[in-house]
Amino acid sequence: MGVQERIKQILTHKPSPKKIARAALLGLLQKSCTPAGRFHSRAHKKLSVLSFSHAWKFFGSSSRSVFTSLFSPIEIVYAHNLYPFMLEALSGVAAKFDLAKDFLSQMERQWYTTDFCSVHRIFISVAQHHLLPRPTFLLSTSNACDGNLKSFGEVGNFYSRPHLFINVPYFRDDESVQYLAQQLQSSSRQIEEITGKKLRQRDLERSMYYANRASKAFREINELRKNPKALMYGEEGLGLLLLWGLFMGSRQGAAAAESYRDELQRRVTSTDKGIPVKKRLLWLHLKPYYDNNILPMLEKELDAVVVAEEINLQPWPELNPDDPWKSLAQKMLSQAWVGNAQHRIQNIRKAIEEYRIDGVVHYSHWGCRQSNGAVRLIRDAVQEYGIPFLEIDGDLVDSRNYAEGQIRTRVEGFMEVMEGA
Amino acid sequence: MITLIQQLKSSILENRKGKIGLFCPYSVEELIDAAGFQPVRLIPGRSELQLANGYLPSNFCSYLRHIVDSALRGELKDLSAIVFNHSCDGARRTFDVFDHYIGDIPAQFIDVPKAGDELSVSYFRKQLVLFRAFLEKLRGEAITDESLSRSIVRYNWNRELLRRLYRCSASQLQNLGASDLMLILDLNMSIPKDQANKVLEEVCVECELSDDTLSAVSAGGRKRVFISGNMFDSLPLFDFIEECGGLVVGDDFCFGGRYGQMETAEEGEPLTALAKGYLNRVPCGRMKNNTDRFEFLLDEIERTDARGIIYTSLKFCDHFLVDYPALKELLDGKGIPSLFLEGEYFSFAAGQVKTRVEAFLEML
Repeated sequence: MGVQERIKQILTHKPSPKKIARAALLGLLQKSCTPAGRFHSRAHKKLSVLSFSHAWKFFGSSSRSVFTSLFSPIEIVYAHNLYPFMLEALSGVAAKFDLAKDFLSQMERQWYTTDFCSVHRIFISVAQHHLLPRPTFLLSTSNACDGNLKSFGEVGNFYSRPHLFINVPYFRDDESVQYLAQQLQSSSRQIEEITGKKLRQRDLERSMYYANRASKAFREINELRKNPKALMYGEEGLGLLLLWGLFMGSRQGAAAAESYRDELQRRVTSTDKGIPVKKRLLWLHLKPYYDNNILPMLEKELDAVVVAEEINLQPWPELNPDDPWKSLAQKMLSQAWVGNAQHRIQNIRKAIEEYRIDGVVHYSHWGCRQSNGAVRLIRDAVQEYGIPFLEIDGDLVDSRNYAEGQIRTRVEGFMEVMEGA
Repeated sequence: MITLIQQLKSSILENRKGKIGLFCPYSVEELIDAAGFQPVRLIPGRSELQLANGYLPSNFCSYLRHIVDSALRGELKDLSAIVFNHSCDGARRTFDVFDHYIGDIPAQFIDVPKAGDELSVSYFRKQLVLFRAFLEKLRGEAITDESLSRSIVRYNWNRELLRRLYRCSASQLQNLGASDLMLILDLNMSIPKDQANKVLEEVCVECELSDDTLSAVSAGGRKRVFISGNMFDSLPLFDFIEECGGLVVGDDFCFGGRYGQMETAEEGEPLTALAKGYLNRVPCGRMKNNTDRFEFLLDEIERTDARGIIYTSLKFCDHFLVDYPALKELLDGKGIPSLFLEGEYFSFAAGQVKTRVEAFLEML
């Protein structure tokens, strides 16, 4: 039996947090022993090993486990010497191992509306199946969506653990920065009360130091990818979300980000032919995490390569250890999905210009109203550039309505429009 | 009762104040009132959507899509402005559409925090400073603290009268049925509070003096149900319930039973008082303390002697839909039967709803 099958067996046969930790350890060993050449890159191997190692520690050590959401300020969690774990990642894993529908069916029996984002429903269900270690606390924010308050609230109640919720303001003015900074500082104090341990200034500075190193690496990665050569496939680029969503503020996270930067730098100067590119795409929102052919169809069959992903195109500003809460607040507010859709559109326009984009793809995840509600605005902005816009409706983790044939038809039509432009 | 309702209706016709549209009870009406405008709840017609689906996706709040549709068809032209709150992701995106495509109606976006702690009150107060500036610019004159304080007093009295009406309604249903109450609440939203308060006070006095009581109504054998929800089309639902032999004894709709559940301090700095009052009212599903609404519901169910609860929500409303499983668990634990209904703003699957309501009432 291969390692993947063994992991799936563990996940499906009376799993528990300890067994999942063992599965993560198996995955860690497998990834560590697999030659780098079998990954997208050495950097990719490094991230895979890091992810499994983190999962092993998280599932094995509940006294330091913290449930977080995608845009949670995990720098604070690392500063308190705790392990953050992004619950949305669990939904992605469930989708990858084709377990999503079982979790979703259970939620439907419990009266959870199917219009509520499936990513949130799955991790609530994962929690209710007792598959997670009891966390020290949960930390979520109102970015990107309303769902975070509800889903984390449900999971927090289930485990009877405190749910620290940060209200990210809509605006970016000084009052909003101050409000957010005060909440961050207050959250840190609450963490001290929960853990019984004071935050040490040197730990906060350490976390910010590593976050700044990672941010610098991400800024450099974004700059490098403006190169006429496509330096990585979007399929891999979208995976970078795991790096900043789980490891921002950790030494390993900084090293992994720098590893990616170094890899891309090497590819810039390499004389290898590299990735064949007929058209350069910008990808908006996220990708489906169950097995599917959308990106391979675009990137490998049609050579329409995603050279930039919206989710990674963040300013990645530096944190200031002399003013940590304010600078962290400013960083959180700089994320394009905060507030008015015009922030997102400005980011998209900039990307179209700087990455010389030939076409834009928006993956519209069912139930993601904060994203899909802006599609008309985005489409109109993209079309001002005379380039085509493709909206693919689907689900990020629920494969039940995935219809490859229909998507293929649309993708091929999109490609024809790009080629004709 | 009919005469009093007619009085409210004629007040609407006589009202010449500039109107400011709103759709969320976290819009601070006192500020609008103090500025000399009439806050009006937006209740677009429920016909088929013509234009909005080109701007917002179909799996998106149908109430908000109807507002957009109305605006695109020019039906909101007589409004002086529209207030958007950060009620939900849908409201956020609807504002984006207004901001970009519907430029002829001034629109103001107000960020409403999800908690009522000191930090959030302070932040919300600053939002109200901006809202005040917007209204002053629209009006061309300043809003004084005195005028704002007077407005707070008017609104506090209005909410107290509404709470009294609800108390009356539960025991005087033959005089003040649920449908009448909903109509009064709708009308209350469209006229100056001074005028509304005069009429509402007469209604309260009439009901409170009546000898007919709870037992006279319940002797008819009708099943007492409480309704909870957001923007569901209440009047047809209430009619169904009553046709099926039920009796609506109360509700906690955003602009219904929960609307009156707040008080603003009349002393002290008015903007701070408003910020505190609004953020600490009986909450909507969007708030961090949303489970306080469950406690309110349980108290209301007990107060109105309801035998069951019908929980309603518009589709695609995460705030209310995702609350139901936890609420149901609580209700089941207390032996309170519940029925869950969801629908769209513009369509009401009448046949299906009626069947389910009948079955539910039979079970009570």
